[in-house]
Parts: sequence; C-alpha cells; structure tokens
Amino acid sequence: MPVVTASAVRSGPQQLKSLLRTPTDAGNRPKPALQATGRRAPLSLLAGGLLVALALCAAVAAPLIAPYAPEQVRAGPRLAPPSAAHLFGTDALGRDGFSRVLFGATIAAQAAIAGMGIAALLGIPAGLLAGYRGGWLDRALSRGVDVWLAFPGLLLALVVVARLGPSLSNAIIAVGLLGAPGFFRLTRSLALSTRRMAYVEAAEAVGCSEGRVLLRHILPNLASSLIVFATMRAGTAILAVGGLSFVGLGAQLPSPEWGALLAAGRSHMDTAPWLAIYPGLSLTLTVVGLNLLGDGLRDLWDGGRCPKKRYA
Amino acid sequence: MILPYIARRVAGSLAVLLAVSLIVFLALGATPGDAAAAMAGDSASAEQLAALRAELGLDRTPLARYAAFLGGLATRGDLGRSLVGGRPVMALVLERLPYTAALALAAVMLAALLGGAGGALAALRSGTLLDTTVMAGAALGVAVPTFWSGLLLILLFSLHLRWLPVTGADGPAHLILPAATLALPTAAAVARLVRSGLLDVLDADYVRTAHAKGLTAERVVTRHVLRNGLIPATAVLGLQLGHLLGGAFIVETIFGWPGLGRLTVQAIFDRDEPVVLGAVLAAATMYLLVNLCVDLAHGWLDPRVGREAI
Repeated sequence: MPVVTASAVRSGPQQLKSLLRTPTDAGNRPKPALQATGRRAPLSLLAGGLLVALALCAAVAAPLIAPYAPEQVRAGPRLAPPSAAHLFGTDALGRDGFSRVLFGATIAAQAAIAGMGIAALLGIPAGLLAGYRGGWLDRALSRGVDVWLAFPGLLLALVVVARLGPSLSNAIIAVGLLGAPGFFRLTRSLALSTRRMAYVEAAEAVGCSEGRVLLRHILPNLASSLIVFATMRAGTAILAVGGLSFVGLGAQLPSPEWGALLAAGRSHMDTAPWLAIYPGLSLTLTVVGLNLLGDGLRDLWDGGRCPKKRYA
Repeated sequence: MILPYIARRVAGSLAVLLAVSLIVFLALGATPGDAAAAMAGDSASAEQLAALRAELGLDRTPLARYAAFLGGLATRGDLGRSLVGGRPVMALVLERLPYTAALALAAVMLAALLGGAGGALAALRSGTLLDTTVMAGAALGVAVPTFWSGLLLILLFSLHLRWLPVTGADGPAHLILPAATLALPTAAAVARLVRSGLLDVLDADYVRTAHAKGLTAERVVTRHVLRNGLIPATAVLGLQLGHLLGGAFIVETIFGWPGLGRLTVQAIFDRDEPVVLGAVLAAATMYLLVNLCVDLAHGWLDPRVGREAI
C-alpha cells in the first residue's frame, strides 16, 4: 500500500483538476483584457471617478468658468477672505484665488499626464523587452534600475532639476524619470509571467515577429494592471511636481501651480489662511480621487479579491 | 553562512554607490551656467571668468574631475569645497546630519506608534465603524502632501493655538511639528500594512493550532500574531527611515529645519555643484546602509525569508 503523505492529500485534488482540464477550458485561455467581470462597480470607483472627473473638468474648462484671468492683479481687494465674489478669497496682489486654483488644475493635469506618460514610455517598453527576452538585456536593465532606485525619494528629481534648472517642464521631466523604474519593474514581472503562457507560445509557434508578440499578444493582457498602476502614478506625479514647485524648484510664480500657490500662501498664513487651504485641498482631493479610481479599477478587473500573498 | 551574505551585500551596495556618484557627477559636471559665472557676476570679462574657472578646477573634463574627486574622498574623506563660501563639503554635510537624523528618527517612531496602534485596532475590530474610520483616515493620510499637512499643522498648533513654534531648530518643541508632518503618510501606510498583516495572520493555520493547543489569547497574540503580522510593517518603517535620512527637503523647507534636504535645495539654487554632489551622496549612502540593515533584520525576524536570501 502506497504511503500517503499529508501534502500529497492536499495537493491531490489540484493535480487532478489540472489533469482534467481540457485545452478549451476557460481557465486556460487568456483573460479578456479590460473587460469587467460583471460585478457591481465598487464604491471607490464611483467616488474616485467623480473626483477625477471634477478635476479634469476644472482643468479643461478653466478658461471658460474662471471668473478672472489667473494672473490678473487687483481683481479684488488684497487678501480678501472667501466671499461670493471671490470664492477662494484673494491673494496679496488681489488675484482671484478661485481662478488661480482652477488654472492650477490645468497644470496638475499636464503634470499627471506628462509626468506619468514619460515614466510609462520609458518603463513599459524596457520592461517588456527585459521580461520577454531575459538574459543579458534583462540583467543589464535590472542593474540600471537598481542604481536608479538607490536615490531615495525625490532625490533623483533634485539632481535632474539641478542639472536642467528649476522650471515646471524640467520638474515634470524629473518626475517622469523618477517614475520610470516602477513601470519597468511591474511590466517586467508581468511580461515574465506571461512569457510561457500557452497563447504566447502559440503566437510564437505560428511565426509572429517579436514586436507582434509583444504588442499584440502580451501588452494587451498587461493593460489592466498597467492602467491601474498608471492611475495611481498620475497622483504621485502631481504630488511630486507640487513638492518641487513648493520649494521653488518647479513651476515659478506667477504660475498658479498648486504647490507654488501653497508656497506663496505660506507667508500670509496668519492673516490669510485661505491661501494655504484651497490649493492644498484641491491637490489632496485630486490625488485621493486618482488613488480611489485605481483601487476601484483593480477591484473591477480582478473580479473579486486576488489571493493574498503570504510570506513563504 | 551569514558573513558571505553580508559581504556580498556590502560589495553590491558599494558598487551601486559608485554608479550613483558617477551619474550625479556627470549630470552636474556640465551644468551650463556654472558656478564661476554665478560667482563672477555679469560684469566679469571672459579672461576673468576663465581664470576663475581654472582656479576652481572647472576647466578640466568631467571625468578627470570625477577621478580627482574619488581619489580625494577615498584618501582624505574630502568631498571638495563649497563654491559659495569655500567651506569643506564634508563639514557642511556632517553639520546637517544630526538634524536630519533626529527628524527622521522622531518621524519614524511616531509613525510606528500611530500606524501600529491604528492598524492593530482596525484589525482586531475589523468590519466595525472603528475599522472603517481608521482606514478612511489612512487612505486620506497617504494622499495628503506633506507640504499641505505641514502648513495645516502650523495653522492649527502655531498660529491658532500658539502651542508650538513655527520654524527653527532650538530644542525638542521645534521637532514636534516637522516630525508629525513627516510621520503622517508613513503612519497611514503602516496602519494599512499592520491591519492586513494581522488579518492575514489571524486566520493562519498556525494561529488556529496555537489556540487549539490551549495557549491563552494573549500568548497567541504576542507570540504568534504580532511577531508574524508586524513583519511587513517593520520592513516599510525601515525603508522609510532610509528615505527620510536622505533629507526630507520639503518638510525641512516648511519648518526651516537645517537638515541635509535644505542644504541640497539651497545648493541647487546657488549652483553649488560640490555641495549638491556631497549631500546627494550622503543621502544615497545612508539609504543603502539602512536598506542593508533592514534586509538583515528582516531575515532575523522572519527566518523563512532569511534562509532564502542567504
């Protein structure tokens, strides 16, 4: 009589199931990308989507809805508290706080899209190639990323700004460079795990070129994970550009960038606290919105909770 | 068995550090408006400028300057001299380091306390209103930028209540607000990790076994749940310490805290290349060092990880 160990008993049914699974079994086919699994949209998706939509509306429609031009001085009395005429009050030069915060949304959208876009454009192709090809290319790129990540926090952005000079566009470039390793690592690990999937091997077997395999077969299956990551990263990019602008290394006054607005509001905090409140509130709500949207999209596309990783 | 591992990690960190220093040196070595131009002002003639460049060593190629820099650092611990004021960079960095270290340690300890307590409460009362409240606070906490929360704390505690000073660094009272500002996002992240770590462990087989063999609830929590459930949080706290030692330049700017971060930002404004280089290298060194310690501690806390890594 064969000795049955506890572990064999536990793994038995799984082995049986995998043996029984036929090639047409749904579990063996690649999951259709970007398709909702029929669950109800999670609350985080709605709340996040609403906040992000609000910020995007402000960003796009700022010239239409802003009561004043963002740089128009003496739009009202100086350092006036919030009122019906000036919803977010006015600053030391009498500029309208509400208009400036609205135009700040335009800059935040630029920072989010461009900063995250640069990171994605650098990180995703490199990650795809490294994960799919492996070998020396993977080792070289991964080593490079290790060095990249040896700069804690925003330090790499400081080096870039020190090299290029302080300005909004340089801060966005710096933030893009800062975010690239994250996209690289995620794409690489995902590409690595799909490389031996049946549909990838099938595509290779029928003679698809490497570019076609990567772009038509692997990338679409990574899209949902990458979009979730990019959504969260957009928030990080806004925060980083705001931080650089706050210390004077990003957008320069009179730009209504939110971080720069907070820096300017800092010197009038005892008399005009609203200058230090509304830009920060807009920034925080936008970032919370992007985080919630990312969370919600992940829940939606994962179709339930993914098995938690255990430390083993 | 552990020594070769440590040796390998130290060698790896040194190699990374060397690469970091080369990148930073090359990135800053060819800055278009160089320090000589900044020092000489607009009225200087081309000859004066060239003479000043030669005096400062700015006329050599970046690679030659990098080699000279490395030589000086290895033999004399020399990081060069500030282009503004002429003081040794090493002295400037060492002068700022205690401030940065004090702020980083205070922030991490505060984050561990706040985040640990919040996360543990949320896990032990999971599904209740308390859990939801703590987690909503954490979701907000990770998104609030420090340059806003810092201002809000100043508004409340310095300007409104007048309990704490706004800026400066004379004594512990000055440390409270910057440390709290830095601690908030970390505490939020820690609370999430502690909660999910504890929930993971609470329904693990070995916890059920521990209950089944008749251990008291306290003993199960202290010996089994906490030890395993807190590992992810300690790893994040360690990493965060490394980050903060790199100079929390935003918070240091808000509160006028004379740490490494402010030194770096000011040096960027001044185009003071040696100081930027020295400060960035100091930050990267500490970050790598702390990372190394965190990895080793992780292996010690969780032997399952340690064996794999070694």
